[in-house]
Amino acid sequence: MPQLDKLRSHLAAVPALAYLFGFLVSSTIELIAGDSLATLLGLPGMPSLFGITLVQRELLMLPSVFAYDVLIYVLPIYVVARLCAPFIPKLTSRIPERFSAPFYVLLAFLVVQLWGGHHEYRSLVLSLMGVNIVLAASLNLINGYMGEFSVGHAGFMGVGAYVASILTVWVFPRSLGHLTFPLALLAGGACAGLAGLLVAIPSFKIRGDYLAIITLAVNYIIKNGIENIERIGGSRGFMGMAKLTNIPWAFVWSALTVWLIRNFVLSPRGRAVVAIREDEIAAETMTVNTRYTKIVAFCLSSFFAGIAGGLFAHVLLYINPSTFSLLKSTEVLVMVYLGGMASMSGSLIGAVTFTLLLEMLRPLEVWKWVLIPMLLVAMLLRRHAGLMGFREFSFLSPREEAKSYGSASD
Amino acid sequence: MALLQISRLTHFFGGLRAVHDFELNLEEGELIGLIGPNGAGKTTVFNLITGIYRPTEGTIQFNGHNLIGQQPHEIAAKGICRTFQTIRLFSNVSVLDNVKIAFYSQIRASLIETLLRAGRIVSEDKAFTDEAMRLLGIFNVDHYAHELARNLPYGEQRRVEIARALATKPRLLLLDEPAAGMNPGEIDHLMDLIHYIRDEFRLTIFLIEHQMRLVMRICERIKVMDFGATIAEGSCDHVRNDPKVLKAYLGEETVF
Repeated sequence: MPQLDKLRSHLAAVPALAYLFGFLVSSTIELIAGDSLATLLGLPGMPSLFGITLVQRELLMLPSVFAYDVLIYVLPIYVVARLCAPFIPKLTSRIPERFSAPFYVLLAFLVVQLWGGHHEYRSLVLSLMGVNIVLAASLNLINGYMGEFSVGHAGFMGVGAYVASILTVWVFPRSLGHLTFPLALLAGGACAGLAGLLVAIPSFKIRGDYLAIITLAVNYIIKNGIENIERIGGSRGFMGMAKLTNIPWAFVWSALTVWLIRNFVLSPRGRAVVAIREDEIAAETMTVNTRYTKIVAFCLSSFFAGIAGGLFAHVLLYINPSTFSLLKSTEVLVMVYLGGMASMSGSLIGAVTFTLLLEMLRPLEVWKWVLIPMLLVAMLLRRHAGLMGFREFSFLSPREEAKSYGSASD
Repeated sequence: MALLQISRLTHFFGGLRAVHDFELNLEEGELIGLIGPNGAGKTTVFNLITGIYRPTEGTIQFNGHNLIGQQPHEIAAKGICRTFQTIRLFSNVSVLDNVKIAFYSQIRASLIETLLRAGRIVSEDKAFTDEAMRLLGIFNVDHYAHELARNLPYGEQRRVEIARALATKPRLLLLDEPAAGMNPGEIDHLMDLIHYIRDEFRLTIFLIEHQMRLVMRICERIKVMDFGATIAEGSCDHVRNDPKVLKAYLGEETVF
């Protein structure tokens, strides 16, 4: 479709930073005028996720929702982005290179906080989105970069969730809440990382489909193990956590995870992980210590799954063993394959898209689970490596390479 | 003392004796060929030396170290590197990264530095890139550096594989049929290259080859295997006229 291509190139001509500024302005406008505009248009309240759930319940609201979205989002973002665009190159050239990434992250955080901070449901969605980003990024290390098929990621998430919750509820004083929260998460991550050895050690001898079965078994071992420990509630679950996960924590941890894993996979040690995917024997012959590399990869991946579990437990404030069953692992797999293999940008997009789809299609109830897999199949038929398979956004590519060889990624 | 000393090396696959009482003394700087009909056990010898298989019996000493029971990556880090009969590049990785992976044993940056992309990691990675580009330059494939390895023509892939092997800083290079699938012109080029890298990198080279023209022209000494046993050893002329060798090859090779 030539019109669509024209629109795309028209929109792509404006740098991403300009759109961030646009979103910042539009969120501010919504904060000030959103409620009154919604009343004026006859909407029951400020639409939480662009009114998509509302339209599914009452189709007649479509014109009002459309008007709201155009007035609050499309128009301000477009206008501000167009106005900003000429000044962006001047701005970026004035920011020292080493501060440019933190600057983008800070701006993105402001946008997210301004859009969702004042709205309870949006906070919940954004927190879950952060959890999902951490999960997808960490699983991508195994399934995308190392090329093993792990289907038990939720097990490690469960370990982290329980350890972190036990610490915040029973061990740390409640008054210190946010101060000790990172410690609880790290402890949960460390325990999950140790549990990762359960997969790493068999992986020395076994690979491919057989290792996948082992990851499945580990998922069940962890789930059934927790079910049988009465002290922590058994199958009834565990509760009593304070609501510690909020947008800032979710944002910080997801940004940190993506950054650390990206650093790892770009490094010489990370290339060894990719070498194992490509040809394990050739990797050994090229001096790569494949056992050590596998231990590092599995432990790192399950460490972050544990962090995600801890965050998750402090969003919903209730966990039970069946939360961390195969279904949860499958959700993470869907995010990874939707976003794209061996790509941190892919995990980012996959987790964001999946979380939003899940929430936006909530009114469809069970039919949601028919529609989302169908969307996934349709997408994979067109792009079988996922949306961003084996590619990265420029802000996630290494700076040195982008400079000396020209950016090959987009 | 010899660089590589192999004595009474024997390996069984189940009941099949793939290699039987294999003996070899390799002096520093030698260029030796290993020939024999298909299934003679030549590649098995390479797999035993590089630690991919563990021998049933026998000893392998490299530079005074015992190699039996060592992991392949430990043996590689000690200075024995190889290429494969069928090319085994990391296909979905750029040519540059293929070579950079081989610097693994030279990594000094810790895991923490790696994760934080701080300290030694950046300068180290830069040094690896420069060294890899230099090696690719020697083999005249540096213009492919950012191409995925699988997109390269066959002959170029062979050259990248040798460049990658050299990145591990080997003292002994094992080449498994380096001329397989090459035309006569390419083989001439390969022979010059093998001579060049031996002198340039001060290597000892041990190669398996079916192309007699190549073996006879560049190897100083040849070992002939058949059904796992060594049937002849010596200079090209000696081997060429050995009745056992003629018998093993009868009907297959008429160059002799």
